[in-house]
Amino acid sequence: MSTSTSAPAGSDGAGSVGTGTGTGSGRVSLVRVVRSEWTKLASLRSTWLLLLVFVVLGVGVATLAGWGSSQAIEAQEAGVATAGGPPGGLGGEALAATIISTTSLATLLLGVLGALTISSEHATGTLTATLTAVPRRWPVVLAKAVLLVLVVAPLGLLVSGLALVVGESFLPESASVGLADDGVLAAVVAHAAAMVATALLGLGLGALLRSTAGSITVLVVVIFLAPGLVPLFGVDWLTTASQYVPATAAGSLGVTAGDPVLSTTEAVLTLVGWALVPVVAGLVALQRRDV
Amino acid sequence: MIEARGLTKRYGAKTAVDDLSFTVRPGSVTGFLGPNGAGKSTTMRLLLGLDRPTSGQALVGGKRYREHRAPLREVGALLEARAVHPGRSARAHLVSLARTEGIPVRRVDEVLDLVGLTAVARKRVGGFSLGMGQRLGIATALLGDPATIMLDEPVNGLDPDGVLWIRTLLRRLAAEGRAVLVSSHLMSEMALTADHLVVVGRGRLLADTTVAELVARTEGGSVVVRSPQAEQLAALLADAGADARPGDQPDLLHVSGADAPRIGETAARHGLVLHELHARETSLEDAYMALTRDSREYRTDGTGEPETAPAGAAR
Repeated sequence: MSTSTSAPAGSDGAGSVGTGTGTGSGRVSLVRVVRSEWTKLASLRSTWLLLLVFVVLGVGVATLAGWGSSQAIEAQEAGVATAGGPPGGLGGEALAATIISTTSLATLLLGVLGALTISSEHATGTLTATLTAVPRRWPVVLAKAVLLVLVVAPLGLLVSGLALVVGESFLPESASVGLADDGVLAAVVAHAAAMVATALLGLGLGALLRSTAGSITVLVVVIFLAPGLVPLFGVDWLTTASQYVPATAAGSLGVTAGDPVLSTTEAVLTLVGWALVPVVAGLVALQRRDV
Repeated sequence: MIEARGLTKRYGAKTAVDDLSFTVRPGSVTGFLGPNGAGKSTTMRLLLGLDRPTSGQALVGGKRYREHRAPLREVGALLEARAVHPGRSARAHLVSLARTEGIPVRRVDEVLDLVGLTAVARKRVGGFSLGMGQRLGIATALLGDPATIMLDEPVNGLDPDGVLWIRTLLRRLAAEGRAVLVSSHLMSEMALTADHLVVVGRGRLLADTTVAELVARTEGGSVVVRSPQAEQLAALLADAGADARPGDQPDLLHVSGADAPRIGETAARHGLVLHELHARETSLEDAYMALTRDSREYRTDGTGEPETAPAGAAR
C-alpha cells in the first residue's frame, strides 16, 4: 500500500496550490460542525459494529427473557409449581417491565459509543485537527451531543420497542401486554430516554477523562454495579444514592415491576441530570484545557 | 502573517517557551529552527490556540487564532503527521474538516490530488506509511487555501523525492504570497528552503535573521593545513597568535586566527613544505551549531527538556 501513492500533481513546481474550484466563503456554524461530526462517526467501521451489536443484544436479551418467562408460566400452569411458591408469579405489567429492563445491558454499548466519539480523538490525535478547524471548541462537544441524540433516540425507540414486542410474543395471551396498553409505551419511551442519557453520559465522561478505558469503567459502575451491588453494602445513604441512576429511573416510568422506586419527577430529573451534567462538565474541561 | 509577542508557556516549573517574539511575513519561507526540545512545537500549538500561553500574545492573520470564524481558510497547519483516526479514510478525514466551514468536497479531491494521495483516498489511514501520513497532513494544511501555513517538521519520514517535493511546494507557497513557517531541527534542510530564520533554544529566541546574515554574524572559519612538518608549523603559528590544533592525521592542522595567505607566508619564510592549504568557510550548519551550542550542552547534561511538551500538555 505504501508504494501506491500516485505522483504528486505539480511536483515539477509548476501550477498553483490554490484552488481551481474555490473554497466557498462560509464560517463555522453549529449545523456545519454537526455535519462534520456525522462524517466522522459514519466513516468508522466501529460505529456501525457497535450499533449492530446494540440492536442484536438489546432485542436478543429481551427475547431470552420473554422465552424464559413463558417457560416458567407453562411450568406453573402444569402444576409443577413448588408448594408454597408465590401463586401466579408476576403479572402482565411486571413481566413487560422486566423484559424491557433487560435492554440496559445493550445500553452500555451506547455509553461506549458516546465516550469513543471524543476519547478516540484524544487517543489518535484527531482532536488537534478538530480543534484547529473549530477553535472555539464548545461547538465540537455540542455537535457531538446533538448527533448522539439524533442517532440514539430513534434507534433506542426501535430497540426498546422491538425488545418489548418480541419478548412479549412468547407469553400466553393472559400474561402479555401490548404497546397500546396503559404505561407500556411510556416504559418504551423511558428506556429509549435512558439510552440517550447513557450515550450523553459516555460523551461527557470521554471529554472529562480523555480515556476510553476510564470512561467504560465509570459506565459499568453506573449502569450495572450501582443498582445491583451497592444496596448489598447495607449503607442507607449509599443505597438511596444508587437509586438515582438511568436504569432505575427508566424502570420507574410506565409499567413497573412492583412499586416504582422513584417518583415520575425524580425519574425524569435523574435521566436529564445524567444526560446533561457530565456533558456540561466535559465541555467546560475541554474549553479550559490545553490539548 | 504570524506575530508572536512575548510568548511564554510554562508547564509547572518548566518553561517551554520563554518570552519569544518574532514575525513571519507573507511571501517568504521562514525556517523555525532549534534542537529537539527547543519549544518549536509548543510555539506552534500556542499560535493555533491549542495550548494557552502563560503570558504574551500569538496573532495569526492579525487576530488570535480562536477569534477566526473560518480558521481553515486563514491558517493551514501540520502539527503531528498521522494524528488521524487509523480507521478513517484519508478522504473522510478531510471531508469532515471541510464540512466545518462549508468548504466544497471538490476541494478535498483537489488537495488529495495535489499531494498525490488520490489513489489511496478511500483507504484507511492506519495502513499509511509515515510519508503518506505527512502528505495527508499537508493536504489538511492546504485544504482551506489559507494565506498562512505552518508545518511542523514536514520532511520527517519522507524519502528523497518527497523531501524535494516539500522543498518545491514551500517555495511555491511563498511565491504565491503566503506566509510560510516551517520548523526543523536540520539546518541543512532549512538552508535550501528558507529565506528567513527564527532560531530558538530552550524556548528562547537565539536569532531572527536571514540565512546570509547568520553566516556573516558567526566568527570566521578555519584553515586546513597539511604539512610533513606540522609540529614545527603549529609552534610558529602559535607564536604568531593563531590557534593551530592537530587534526586526526599527524600531518594535519586546523588553524583559526590566521587566514590562508598568512599561514602560507609563514611557512615560506621558514622553508616549511605545505602539501595542502585551504580555507574552510563557515557553513550555515557551523553557524547554527555555534548558535545553539549552549542549548545542546544543556541537553547532554541529562537535564534537557523533553522533545515535546510534558505529558498532560501534549496530547
